[in-house]
Amino acid sequence: MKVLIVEDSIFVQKMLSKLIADHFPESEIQTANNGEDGYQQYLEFKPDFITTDLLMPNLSGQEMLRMIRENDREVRIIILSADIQKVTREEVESLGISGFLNKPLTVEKANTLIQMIQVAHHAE
Amino acid sequence: MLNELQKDMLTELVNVYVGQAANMLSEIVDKHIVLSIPEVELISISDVDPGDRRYKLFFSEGHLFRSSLQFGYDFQGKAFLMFPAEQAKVLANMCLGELTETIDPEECRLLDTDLDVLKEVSNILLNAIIGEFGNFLEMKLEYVLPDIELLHVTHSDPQILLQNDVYVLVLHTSFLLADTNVKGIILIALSMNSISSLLEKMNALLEEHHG
Repeated sequence: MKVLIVEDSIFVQKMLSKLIADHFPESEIQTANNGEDGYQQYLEFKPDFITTDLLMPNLSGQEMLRMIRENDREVRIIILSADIQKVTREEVESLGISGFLNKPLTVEKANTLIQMIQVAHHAE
Repeated sequence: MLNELQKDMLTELVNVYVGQAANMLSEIVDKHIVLSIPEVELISISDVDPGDRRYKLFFSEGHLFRSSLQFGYDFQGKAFLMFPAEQAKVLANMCLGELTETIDPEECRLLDTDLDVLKEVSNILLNAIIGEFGNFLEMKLEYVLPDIELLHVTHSDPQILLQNDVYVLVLHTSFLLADTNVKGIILIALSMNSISSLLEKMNALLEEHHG
């Protein structure tokens, strides 16, 4: 399983990488620092899953999601964002996502994230 | 500028939103957060009195960590989270899982990793408060990327709070991380148009409930 983590905080990148690697030791993980880098890596790496922040420099997670969904309805995308606005959530949900979690990533939310990946992985 | 009912309602809203943000911080650092009762005022930045005890944190000399999140369009302003630099270092250590709650002031240099963590934490806290205002007003807020700065504060420098005097200082609250000396302040500055939108919405609700 290939996972792409798009996140501008190195701290959160490391936390997510460790969490996913611990639960899915067979997974291949790559990280990107913003939506632009994320989109480029999406094209080259061809991940099965993407976790992405929304508010990031250069290109936001929302814009990256929109660009990916223009051609690809298959790749599973989970949003991990500090933005708690209902409108934001509805907007990204309308673009097609597998889950939306609000930061901070607590133990409970980390378990939910892992479950989301497991469910989506088994549904493939 | 605010009547008693408006002030009461705004204080209640801020109380709830800051409480949620504090809960998030508590989850991050695994510590109880002691919140002060938020004080709500609508005043011009030019009216800020450096002698006011609530600003003591900022008007004593030293380094200050300041994070800000700018938002717009219909509801426009800037939110700030501020800590003295050495306390910001303690907070970063706690987030990184290092149980260093007291540190030598000579060794309080904030590293890139600390700043990255503090930026992320600030972003989560400020989003929790500002985003709820957006939900309350049923308006979509657009954020500008959060910004962090290390400032050197000189005594009696009101501009340390807000650099642009078009802003009107609205709300302030402080919190303390239990068993530590980490104390921070959150300030939210709103444009006059945004204050009007907020008051309109509040007045409509007050009308609905109180006639």
